[in-house]
Amino acid sequence: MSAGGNDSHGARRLAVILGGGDADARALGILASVLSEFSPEVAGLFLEDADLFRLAELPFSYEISRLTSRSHPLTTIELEREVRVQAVHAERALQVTAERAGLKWSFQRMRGRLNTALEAAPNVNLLLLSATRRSIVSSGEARALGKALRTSENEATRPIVAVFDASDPATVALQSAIRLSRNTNRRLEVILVAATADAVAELRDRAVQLLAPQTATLRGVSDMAIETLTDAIRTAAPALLVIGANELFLESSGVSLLRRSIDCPALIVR
Amino acid sequence: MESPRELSPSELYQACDPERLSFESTSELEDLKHLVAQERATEAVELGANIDVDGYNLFVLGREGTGRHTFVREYLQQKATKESAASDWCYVNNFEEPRKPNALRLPAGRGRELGEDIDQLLDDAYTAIPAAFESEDYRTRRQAIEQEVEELQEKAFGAVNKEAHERSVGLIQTPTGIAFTPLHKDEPISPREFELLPEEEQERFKKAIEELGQKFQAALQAAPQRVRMARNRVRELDREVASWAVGSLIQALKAKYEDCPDAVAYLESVEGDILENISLFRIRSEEQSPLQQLLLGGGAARVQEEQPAAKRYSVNVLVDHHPEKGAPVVFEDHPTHQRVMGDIEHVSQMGTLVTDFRFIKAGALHRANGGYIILDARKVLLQPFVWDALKRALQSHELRVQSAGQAYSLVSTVSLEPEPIPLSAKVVLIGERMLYYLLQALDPEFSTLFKVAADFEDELDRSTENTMLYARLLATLARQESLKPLHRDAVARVIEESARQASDGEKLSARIGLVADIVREANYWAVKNGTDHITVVDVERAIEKQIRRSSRLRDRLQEEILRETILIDTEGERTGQVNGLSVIALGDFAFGRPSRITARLSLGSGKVIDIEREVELGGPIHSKGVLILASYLASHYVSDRPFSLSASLVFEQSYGGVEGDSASCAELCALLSSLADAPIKQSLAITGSVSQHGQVQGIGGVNQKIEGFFDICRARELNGDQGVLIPASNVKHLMLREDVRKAVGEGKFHVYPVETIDECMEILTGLPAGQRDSQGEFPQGSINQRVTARLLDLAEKRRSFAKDGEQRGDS
Repeated sequence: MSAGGNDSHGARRLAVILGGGDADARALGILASVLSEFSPEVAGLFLEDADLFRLAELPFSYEISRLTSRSHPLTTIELEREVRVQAVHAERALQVTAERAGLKWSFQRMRGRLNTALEAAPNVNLLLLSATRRSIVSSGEARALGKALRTSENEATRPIVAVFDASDPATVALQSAIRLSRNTNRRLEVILVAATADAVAELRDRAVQLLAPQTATLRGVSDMAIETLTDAIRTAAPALLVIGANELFLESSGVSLLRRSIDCPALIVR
Repeated sequence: MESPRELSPSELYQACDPERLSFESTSELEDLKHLVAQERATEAVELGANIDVDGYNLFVLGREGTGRHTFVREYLQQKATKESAASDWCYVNNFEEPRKPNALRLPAGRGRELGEDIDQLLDDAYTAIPAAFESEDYRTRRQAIEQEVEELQEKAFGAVNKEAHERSVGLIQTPTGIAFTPLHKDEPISPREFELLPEEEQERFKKAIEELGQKFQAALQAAPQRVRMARNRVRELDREVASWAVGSLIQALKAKYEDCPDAVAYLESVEGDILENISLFRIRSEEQSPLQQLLLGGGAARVQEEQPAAKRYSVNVLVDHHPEKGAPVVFEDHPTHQRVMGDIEHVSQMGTLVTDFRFIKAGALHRANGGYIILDARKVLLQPFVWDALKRALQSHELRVQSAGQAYSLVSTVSLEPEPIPLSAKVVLIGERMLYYLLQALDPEFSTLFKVAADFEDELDRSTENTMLYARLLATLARQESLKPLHRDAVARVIEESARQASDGEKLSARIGLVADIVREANYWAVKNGTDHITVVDVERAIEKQIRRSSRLRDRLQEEILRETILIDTEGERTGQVNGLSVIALGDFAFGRPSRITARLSLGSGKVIDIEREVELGGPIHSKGVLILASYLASHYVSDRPFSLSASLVFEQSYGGVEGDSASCAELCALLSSLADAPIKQSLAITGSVSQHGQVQGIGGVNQKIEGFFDICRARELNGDQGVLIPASNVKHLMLREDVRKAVGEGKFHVYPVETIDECMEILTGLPAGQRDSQGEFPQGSINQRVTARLLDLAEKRRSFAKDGEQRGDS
């Protein structure tokens, strides 16, 4: 793939960090439509949350089911089994997606935290992180709510959202988002992030140049705080977030916060 | 003995004198707008068509070619144009029970209009509803509801979160739920670190986690209620917006159709249903996945045509009438169950047959509802299930669309039960008389449903008035079919031929179809000859060619007689042998065939053996004739003595069936000849049936029979002795060919009308028959005396034989 026609911006490998559950399927669904354009090879990394296992070792730990609200003891053995099942599902989903796109693929499990996973993929230009629910509600409730809302707004109409701050990774991210928008026939929204309003205006001009002839909705955020950005992203309700991996976002806390704050997959372009 | 009466040429043919026709050409004649001499049938049709009483449907009976179809159709069409147009009928979706689509009744012409209006409404809704839902107002209000739910959720969980944070406890997602963990400096404590904590601290964490867990559970359990409320509010909002988007459109349509209660009711139900199914208007087929398109069946093009809302709300215009064309008159030429009663079609989707209200198809009865339907009775009876379905519809006054396969459980698919449509149509069946009487006899429901029989005459009187009407009929035919006009000579010849087809010189055939064919073919020859009119020559030629086309078998039979393969004598005398005459009918062509009939005698117990019957080649009427002649013999000659005769009668060289009693006269003559030992002239042939009193009775096909014998005689050269004996009552039926008449005129051939068997025997044998004197005795030497003597002799022999037998038995 050549984002913006420059091979230097193209990803040689695409890493997909999966955390288990429905969010993985959505991440791979988005990935499937563009996979072959972004990378000839995809490496799947299943992240097992180390904190969970530490918790399970506590003598009084228990979990409350999201589905039924019932509580039951949380044991390491049970947790291991559940995580293994999720990993198998993730691996199969990745296999199907990659083979359909005719790509080589690999898959490995890793126990640790997100920054561990990011460190494990240093040579990867694009990372696709699957979504983590930001609000804690049961999946049953989420489905019910989702159904009620889908009667008035189709899931398919949610846009591709790109975050643009003029950095090189952000430029590549915008170009990737343009291509994704075109391929998936979704609207494109661009969030312009700068410290001041004037800087946002400058960014707007640059974004318009990069976009032409593509049209997109442009929103400005004149605040460099990660919390302000996540609010803007949430408002846009993206189907996929495409973001350049600059220093702010590449910090593990930034990525973690982003991951906790949005309910969609995020494509991180490095 | 007096010379037998013989018919003159003028008695052999009832000619139509062209000089008595008051025109030169049919071009001078006015069109005939009614049938000739069919008053009885036309009155019945008028009654049946006009009477508005249950069960007064029509059965029009008569022979093919009598103009039944044309008359009925023209009469009904003329009547129907003055009547008000029938209602349009539509089927629409029954939203509450889709298996039972609803029927809508609308004034003529408005069904299609409603269908188009609904299509337009759906098109408008496809634009208006998405536009309304994409409006900023809608999005804001919807987001406000979502926001409220989120805030309530966040508030509930946030409170737990906050308290957890204050108590140094963290929430963590597990693969299937949520768990709590003690924190140290915002990081989860490891089991080892936890063990190192003071026991008091450990207990504090345990207690905090337990309490937080309970609060979290409570928050989780409250969430569904909040979601449900939010969902209801979003739904209400959607209904409000959709109602605003399409309400005015539907309101306008309701005003337009305010005079059609069915349409207004349907529009109201559409309005309500659209509000419940807004999503149909928010996903166009272009947005459907390939899998969805595949599941819907058909190609992409089909799917694009069929928006989901169209499938649900469109109007299936079953019957569409023009408001100014009067009541419908429908003639269904191919009355299958589907074509008469309608059908529910299915389409294949993923190997399964499915259907809905749009696949309900109208039958002829639907189209005729409010008017008239004409059906051919034979075809109706030949088609499976149609007769029963037709009767059921007439009895229930309802039209239920049901495929025959479904009705008789021949197929097992999900199907529909459309709402029945009230039926108010006059059914006219056209068929043969046999069918009418069979239905009367065998189907008890028939007479209650078809109370009016319109019986078309096969023949009409050959009066001066009818002759002129016939001429006008020919004139009308020529004009309607762009044929050349007929010269009056040609008209006269056609009328004569019509009388011949009626087999009666005093009648005309009402089978106009056959006569029309002669005129059409005569026109062909007239065109070929380049004449302005159809002349008598053209008519003669048309008749001749018709006969030639049909006469192959006749010619072959005559050939075999002339080659003496089939033995028929036309000269000399033979005892116990007579030339009988029969008719062979092949379609519309009939010809006479002479047959040799022989009789043999022996002493017996008074039985006349009909060999044809013995071998099951004789029909019941023929057997009846034989029994009658046996009765005549027994009673006329030796009524006071045992009838001691055994006789056998046979049609020589007859290998097909023999039916009818027209040979009984000939058979009796053969027997009498044998009994009297009086040879019969083989130059004569005889036809006629005989009564128990020896009277000769009329038969059918007299013309063909005479001509059949004449042809053989002529082929062997007429010798002046040859002729035919016919019943006197058949003289009026004579319409013999010109060559026969000519031969009779020249004395080369003879036609003898006979009334009694005595006359027959006198002509056939040249001997007097003899009348009983005052003593009851026949004159010596007469036929009857010789017959009596022979019978007495046989009786005596039998008595003697019986006596000898008794004596032998005693000894």
